[in-house]
Amino acid sequence: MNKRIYAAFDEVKASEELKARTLERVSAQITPRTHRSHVRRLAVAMASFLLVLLGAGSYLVYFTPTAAVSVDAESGLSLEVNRFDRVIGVSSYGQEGSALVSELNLHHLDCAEAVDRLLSQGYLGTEDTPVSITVAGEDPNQSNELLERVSACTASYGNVCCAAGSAEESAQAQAAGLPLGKYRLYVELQALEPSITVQEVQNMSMPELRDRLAAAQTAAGLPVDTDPSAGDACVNVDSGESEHSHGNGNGYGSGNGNGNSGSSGHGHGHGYGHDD
Amino acid sequence: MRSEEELQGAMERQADTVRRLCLLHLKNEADTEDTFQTVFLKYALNSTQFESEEHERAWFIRVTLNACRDLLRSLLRRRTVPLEEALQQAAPVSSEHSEVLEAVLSLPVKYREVIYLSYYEGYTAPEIGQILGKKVNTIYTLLTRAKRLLREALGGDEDE
Repeated sequence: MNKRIYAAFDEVKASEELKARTLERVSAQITPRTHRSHVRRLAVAMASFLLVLLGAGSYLVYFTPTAAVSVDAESGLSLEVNRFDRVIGVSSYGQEGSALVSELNLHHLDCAEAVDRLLSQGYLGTEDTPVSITVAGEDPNQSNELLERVSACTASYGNVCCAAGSAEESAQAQAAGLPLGKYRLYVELQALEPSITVQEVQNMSMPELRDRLAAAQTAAGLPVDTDPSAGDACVNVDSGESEHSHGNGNGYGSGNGNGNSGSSGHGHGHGYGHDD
Repeated sequence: MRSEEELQGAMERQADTVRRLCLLHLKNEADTEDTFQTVFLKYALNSTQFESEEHERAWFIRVTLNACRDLLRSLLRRRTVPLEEALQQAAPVSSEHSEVLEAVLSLPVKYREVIYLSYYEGYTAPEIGQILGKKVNTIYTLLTRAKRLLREALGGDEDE
């Protein structure tokens, strides 16, 4: 019986067609699976890479300062502004400034809003304290727009003077450890009083510095600078007319960017110069 | 994952075994084809290194039996086909052999399995127990009963 059973089963064989069809189907299922899984893995990797790239790019773009707004009253503040006009950094000069920075949270605010907050909440002194705001930037268009916006929002304050500064000047002010508005007064004063040092100026408040300059101007027989709160006259260009000037740094007002050649360092290593 | 060549080699070596096991359980060609696909796809995706052809055969027997059972378990597949039709679909079988196969296939499935594994594949009771996941004593009992039923159906001595 077992021989018969063996022989009977032995006659049962898989047909060649069945084998061929199975091979064909199994191969078809394996190949696309591998292919699909590779494609999927590649897609996931690409998407992750792009996401990281996008994140890093956005971070870099957002946190790269392209303009600086210097606010000088009794104490000095410098706002670093990105290309979206948002405040991404605040540096202070002097002890009062440091206290102010720690008290205020201006990060990520729109620059004009930050300036308005500084002024409206009386952080910069009394209503009569002269405040000088200087806008300097890498991109003339951005600087111009920013200056206009800051000027517009400060127009209601009689004691505020807005001006455009050159990027190079801004860098020099930073190197000297002075806010831009103060640095400008220092340069003006230095022309009349060559013995004055940066350290001395650092220790002086803005009103003191203005008084000192006024005194020096009177002594030299020069007309004393008008009050910084002189309205529109104060929104001006760093025209390059005074002897300490470096030319038309960002071209604001004159509409051309002649003057400085080569680039000068800023706090973040961005060159502001123009090679026209 | 195995290569195309490995798959072809296994097909040549094991296709007949898989086909015979399908005959024991399945009643139509479509189910047989499905089971073939399931078993060989499993083989293609499996990375077990077989020590010998025997080892490989045992793997195929286990996987095929499981695949057949899974297929039968699915409610949709529970349709029956006359035995003759199943045999016709299986292979061109001579009338003498057809009688034997009919007798085997008319046994309950638990007997069919042990008869095939014992008479055709030549496995011992402990080996069959291992493949089917049953106790050796159970296998002995199943074998004894299956042989008796077959003898009744086919007549003659066991060793003929």
